[in-house]
Amino acid sequence: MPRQVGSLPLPPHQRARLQAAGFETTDELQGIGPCQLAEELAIPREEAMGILRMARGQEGPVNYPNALQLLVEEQAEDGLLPTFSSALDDLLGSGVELAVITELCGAPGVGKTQLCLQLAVDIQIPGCFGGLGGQAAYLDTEGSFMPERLQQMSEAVITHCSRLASTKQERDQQDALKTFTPDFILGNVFYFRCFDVTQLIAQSHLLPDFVDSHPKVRLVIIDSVASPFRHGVDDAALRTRLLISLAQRLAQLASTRRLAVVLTNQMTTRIHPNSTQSASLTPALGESWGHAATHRVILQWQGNRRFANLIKSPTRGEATVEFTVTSEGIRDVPTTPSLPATMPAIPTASMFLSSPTIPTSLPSTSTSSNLILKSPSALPSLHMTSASMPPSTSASPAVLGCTAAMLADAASSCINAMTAFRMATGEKMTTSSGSSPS
Amino acid sequence: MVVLRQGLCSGLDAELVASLKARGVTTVQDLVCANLAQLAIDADLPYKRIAMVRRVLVAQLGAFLASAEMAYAELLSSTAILPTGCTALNSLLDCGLYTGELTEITGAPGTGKTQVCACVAVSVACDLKQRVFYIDTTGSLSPSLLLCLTQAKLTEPSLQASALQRIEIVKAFDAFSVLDEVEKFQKRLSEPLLAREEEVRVLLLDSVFSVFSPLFGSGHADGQSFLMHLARQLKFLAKEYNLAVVVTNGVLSSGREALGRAWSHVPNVRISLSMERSGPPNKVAGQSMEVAGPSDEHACTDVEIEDDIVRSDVEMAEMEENIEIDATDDGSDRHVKKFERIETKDTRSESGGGVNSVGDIIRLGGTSAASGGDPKSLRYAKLTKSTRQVSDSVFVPAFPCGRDSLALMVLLIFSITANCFGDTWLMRRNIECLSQNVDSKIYLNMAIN
Repeated sequence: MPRQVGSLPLPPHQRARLQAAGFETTDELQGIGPCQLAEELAIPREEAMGILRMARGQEGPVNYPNALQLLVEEQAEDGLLPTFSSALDDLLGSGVELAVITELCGAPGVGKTQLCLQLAVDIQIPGCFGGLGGQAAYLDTEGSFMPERLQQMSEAVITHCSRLASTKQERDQQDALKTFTPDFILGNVFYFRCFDVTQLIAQSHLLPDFVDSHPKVRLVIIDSVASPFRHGVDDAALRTRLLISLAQRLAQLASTRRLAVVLTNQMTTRIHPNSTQSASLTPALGESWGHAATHRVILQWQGNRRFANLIKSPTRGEATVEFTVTSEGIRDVPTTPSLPATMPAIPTASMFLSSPTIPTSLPSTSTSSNLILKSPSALPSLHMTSASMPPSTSASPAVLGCTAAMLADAASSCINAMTAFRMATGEKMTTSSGSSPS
Repeated sequence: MVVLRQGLCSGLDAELVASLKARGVTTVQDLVCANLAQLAIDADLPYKRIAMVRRVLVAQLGAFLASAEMAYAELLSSTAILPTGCTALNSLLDCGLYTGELTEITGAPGTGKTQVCACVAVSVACDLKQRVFYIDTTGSLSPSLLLCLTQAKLTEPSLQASALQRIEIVKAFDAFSVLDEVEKFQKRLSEPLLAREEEVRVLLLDSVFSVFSPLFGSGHADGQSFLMHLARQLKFLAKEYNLAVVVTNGVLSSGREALGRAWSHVPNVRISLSMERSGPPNKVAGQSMEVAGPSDEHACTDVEIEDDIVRSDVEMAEMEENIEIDATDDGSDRHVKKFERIETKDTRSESGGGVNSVGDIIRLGGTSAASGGDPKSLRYAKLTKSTRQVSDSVFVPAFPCGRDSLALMVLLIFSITANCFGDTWLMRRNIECLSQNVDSKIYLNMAIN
């Protein structure tokens, strides 16, 4: 069955003229030249050429990847994005997953922004420590981004990594630590401030080009996606449409460039008229928005304790875990008062799979020799605590040599966290970059 | 409405096309509807010539008739039933997914639509050794999940590898990409030269809601038409190439299926998934929250995830005997039995076809029921539409009773009764009898497209 002309993405007036002239399918457009078509439809020749180009479509055989190739690609990913709480990592399955959208919902104050800041630091952990060594793009709609807190968290992560490096005494880890400084970490977080719905949607259209020009960006955070839409859009149907198209753009960005996308959402009350409970808390932005994210985590309070509840995931089962927010960032709840117990290693992809091997006997693929799951040896180092480590509650700022490694950013509306920090602390900007403070 | 062009049929040359066009006859439809005598006089053309051209065009482009018996024979020979990989779902779907039909799975977020699609893909690739074409619009299909499900079925790594190679995955994130991909897929299927040992049997589209809902609304009057184009393509693919097409849809805040009433007529079979979350409601500062409760044991492991879906008959039967849905361990009576009926194995008829009615609900296996703990969340699947199984409503004919109408009514009543008893033999016999006795035979008009 040939493609109907009405299903082509043409402007409505062109479609109307095509149908008035009697063209139903793309087959009927095959034998016509652009001049003749332009004459018949009474449109300019360029438009007729555009129509014919679209009707011709793509030629040639198309090969789609099969599940095995995608699995190999996924396994070839070297590094994880941990949250520094092994319970949360276990909940999400070896840290925050790449190439999908993860949504964090929660009541005010439960720690969504803290978790986002922690992730912005964790994405930069060098590959020799098991991280991804990437950069982060932070879209802030509420103004809750705090460079000082980012500085604090990055100091804690650097301390942790330097302890690991000193216990393991590996050359590449020592080398990596030389450049892994708070300034470096802050300089790798690209900060965008979006004040309303229009700016957020515009920024989401600009993100693919931004990521192309900054190929090390591996994490996009939007904190929060709820506030501009709830206050800026009155029409509910329009809001749903905008949200779903935003979600599809983000999903495409995540999937094609293998980024992790983390969104923050607020909570709202749902009234139950016909049940014993009168009201319950539910994530905001409606039911249709619930389909947008791949993983959905609800962060909630119970008394003084924080819990994370995974309510939607195609790969992990439902569970609830406890975590805490300390001066160092997101951490597990200490089980003994004096020492954190030996925390389990970050579950790698190999632990998620119920059998430790990928089928390797494939005559067709050339990469069959590389089908070895990454060994978990590098990753537990992130969470290993030796017996001599002091309790993690005292923040010991490790002052490493602060080299002003501010990365200039080409995007006009973007400043990086380092600049924001310097502005906040009143320092003058020493080097001129193309960015202007917003 | 095919445009008249030179060479469309013999006898239609450029001069004739031009003179017809000058009289306002541009398409085949115009020619068929025109008054030929008047047209011949106006255009100063021989009547015989125009009449002959018209006859040839109608024969070339018109629909042909076939009898119901022929259609039934063709149906029997070409339809296959594909198991979904979940026994309970198979029983709800009358043994599985039927090729030539469009099945829709709807449900709130988190109820397991992607999981069901993955399960179907793995079941077809592993058990039936047929190919699967998966269009993923949300990016949530994880190859690790497919590997996990495959490893539950096959133990040999080489078999697992070849099973995974049969599942083709394409990512399309907006409506026009989806339409493009479907068209490319159809072009691929229509090429006879490609030597393929295994045929594509299932086309999965997860989900149609996320790509087409932005096109609906006051500013887009033609969003509906794009959706209907997709519907036509999918149904054509299903019928022409004997595929089973599975589509995922979402729900709106009101609980209704998304994408409107026009789309609701498109799928042949509709299943609605829902989930009951268990656990005591927590009262925090006067507000009660629905929470699954902090658990000591970790999340349902990978093995349990596949256990949800791939569950043997024995376990299914045991679960349904022992557990009542409205009693959880803490005695909370939030789970009031609000569903009408739970289908168990015993009520299946002897024909073995698993006659279900529209409105039946089955449970798809709780997460920790196997481990004997608190069921964390119970998933239900409800059959909301089916062209094969009837609902409980009574059919009342509303046309005047002439002789032919009476025969038609009798036939219809017979076929409904036969369906109720699940006896297709009876239905076929009735059709044969009636087609001999009744004067006006029943014809099916199958339009060529």
